[in-house]
Amino acid sequence: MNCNDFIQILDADLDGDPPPAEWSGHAATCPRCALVLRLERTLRSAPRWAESPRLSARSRAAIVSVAGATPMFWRHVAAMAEEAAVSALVGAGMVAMAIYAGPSLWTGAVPEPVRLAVSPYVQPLFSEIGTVGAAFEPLLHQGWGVALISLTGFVVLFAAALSTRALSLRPAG
Amino acid sequence: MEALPGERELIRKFQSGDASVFVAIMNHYEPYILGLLTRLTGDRTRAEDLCQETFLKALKGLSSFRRDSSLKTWLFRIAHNAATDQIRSQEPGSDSIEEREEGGLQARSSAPSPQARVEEAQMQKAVEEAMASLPQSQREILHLFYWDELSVGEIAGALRMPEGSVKTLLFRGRNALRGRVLNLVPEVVS
Repeated sequence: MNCNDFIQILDADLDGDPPPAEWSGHAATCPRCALVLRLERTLRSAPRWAESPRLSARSRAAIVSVAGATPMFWRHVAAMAEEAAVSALVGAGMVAMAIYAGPSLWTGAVPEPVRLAVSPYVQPLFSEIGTVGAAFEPLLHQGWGVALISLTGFVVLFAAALSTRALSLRPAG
Repeated sequence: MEALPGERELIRKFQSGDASVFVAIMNHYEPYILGLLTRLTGDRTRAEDLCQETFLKALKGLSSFRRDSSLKTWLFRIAHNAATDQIRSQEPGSDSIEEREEGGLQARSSAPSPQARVEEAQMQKAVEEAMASLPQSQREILHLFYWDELSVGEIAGALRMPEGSVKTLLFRGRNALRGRVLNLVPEVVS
């Protein structure tokens, strides 16, 4: 075994145990590799010799006081609401994009044979969306129409995301 | 790093409303997180502020922690992000940090080396000195791997990078550390 082999074996052992004892035979005859091995062993024992720092009492007290300051119920609600709001905003954006670009993509980007094959399955959905959309269309021409529709969409998605999040926190079993 | 006994149960209790269990979580992970942050910042006061920030963020986020990753990985990720954000905001331009650290190495390498025989304590001192001179990315990976005993997969999860990149950084970090320690230690040996 030469020095390169020695180093290669050492480097390959990223997730495993320290190098086997018989392998370290090369190190007995090579001062440089002996030092490399010594370094590796020192590194592997670092958790035992390294300082184990602790936070000052002031910092710990600051964290613990925050932990006890806000009632857990409201902390839960705030965290879930924050996540649900982000999900709802992203979801609303995606739905808006789908409504805006979907029809033109459907007719322009999807090949005719695929469209014909898929049409029997998606056509009822499109019809329903068209019916619902037509009901909302007059709102679009009013002053606050777009804002109202956006707000409604956000609230619906927010409620859905919040419900999903709340249900996922229930302990299994 | 030893796993926190009953970690899943502690998280469940916390998410059920018992905030007192957070102290147990903090007690267990505090030395590892603070150790990493001290290594990254090189300043105990800054590290302590960042550690406090890390646990406050964890306190806020633990209610919605989904166990997609382990708590350990999640906490290290928060600490890593906090440190990275602060380093970026205080010292804009990561290149300049790297350059400064490389310059620091030159100064350290030419400094008088220890004269005594090679003992474990001296090797440890050499390792600490060499670690301090490494670029931040390598220093962090080596600390997580050797000091905090995270696996390559856990480091990849904590730093949100592919395992291949972790292995590459670890390989480079070890080579760099070796080079620097070998520069420091022969003078000790002789």
